[in-house]
Amino acid sequence: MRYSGFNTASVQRNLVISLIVSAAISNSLIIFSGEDRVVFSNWTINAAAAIALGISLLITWRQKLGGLYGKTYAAFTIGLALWFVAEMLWTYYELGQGIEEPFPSLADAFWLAGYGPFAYHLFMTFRFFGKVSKKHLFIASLGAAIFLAQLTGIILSTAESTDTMALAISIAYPVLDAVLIVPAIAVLASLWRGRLTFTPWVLLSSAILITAVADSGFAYYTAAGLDGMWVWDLFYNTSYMMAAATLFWHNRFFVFDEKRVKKVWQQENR
Amino acid sequence: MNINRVLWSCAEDALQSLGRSAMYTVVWQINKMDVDTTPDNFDIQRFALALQSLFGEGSETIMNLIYRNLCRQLEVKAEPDPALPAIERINKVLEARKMNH
Repeated sequence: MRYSGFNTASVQRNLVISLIVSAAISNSLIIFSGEDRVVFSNWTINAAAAIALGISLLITWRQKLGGLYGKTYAAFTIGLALWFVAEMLWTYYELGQGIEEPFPSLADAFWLAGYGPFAYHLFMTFRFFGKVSKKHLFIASLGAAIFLAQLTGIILSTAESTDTMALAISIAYPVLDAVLIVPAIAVLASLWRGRLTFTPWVLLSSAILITAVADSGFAYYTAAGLDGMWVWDLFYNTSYMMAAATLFWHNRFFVFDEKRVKKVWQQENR
Repeated sequence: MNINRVLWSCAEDALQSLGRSAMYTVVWQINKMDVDTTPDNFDIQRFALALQSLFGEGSETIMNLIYRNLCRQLEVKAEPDPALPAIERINKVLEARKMNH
């Protein structure tokens, strides 16, 4: 079918290039910052989280709270706000208080609370779009369950720490990530062929997968008492950037912009 | 009663379930695919194809909503046959209506 609307292919290309370049630059700041790494990693991640939260707030303000997208994107914004508070608290503990690995801490309460709104966003979207793909949901659930079972086994077998609370929180993150991955992949399977829906769902699913890898790595390093935790910051940073790219796409293609529509109309009728 | 008008109102209601802003932008993009969305000339077949191009298999959810809205408006019983695509069920309803007239 002929399509003469927004150039989705060009936006997709530019978005991916921008994402790769900005991830490369910001992750390089973390990698090559040497002794100042703790400062750079904190503020790089905070900046990425703030950008994602900013776009999300803009979407919520522009599209209001009506309909599926109104509700699910408001929930996404709440989730990002909670995670942003958690990031700021982590920075405060690390840079302000000088605590090397502030884990577990109050920040974890905000991170864990953020999973609720994110789950709402994904499950509501799955309930709307995903009912045609029960097979995909089953495959995704099975994959997540296997992933989770293996991870829990590894963590428990290497744990040197006797802090049950820290261990429980370490395990909670990958478990909750697995819970998010299931509907994300199921929705992606449903919207895979859509010109408007492919890019944001590939990005969002990848962001959740990257977060899951980072959380699993973090949990493993914490339990095993390993050094070099900063490696996982690269993953968290990239994940926030991918979430921001997803939100950018939604803002561009799913939120009505009268001015832009007028501009396209004027260009066509010149 | 103009059936295209009825179908358009059903489609509009279904798209509104995404939210008003999303509805406007989807309708605009569907227009850009040469689908006439003026109520009297609305073509549900072309609309279904355009929607599938934008949402992939996810479009089936919206088409199902249109089917249910149509059954409610025409006061016919909706057939819950998940094996049949919503557009075919809509066509069945439209054919049955033609035969009854």
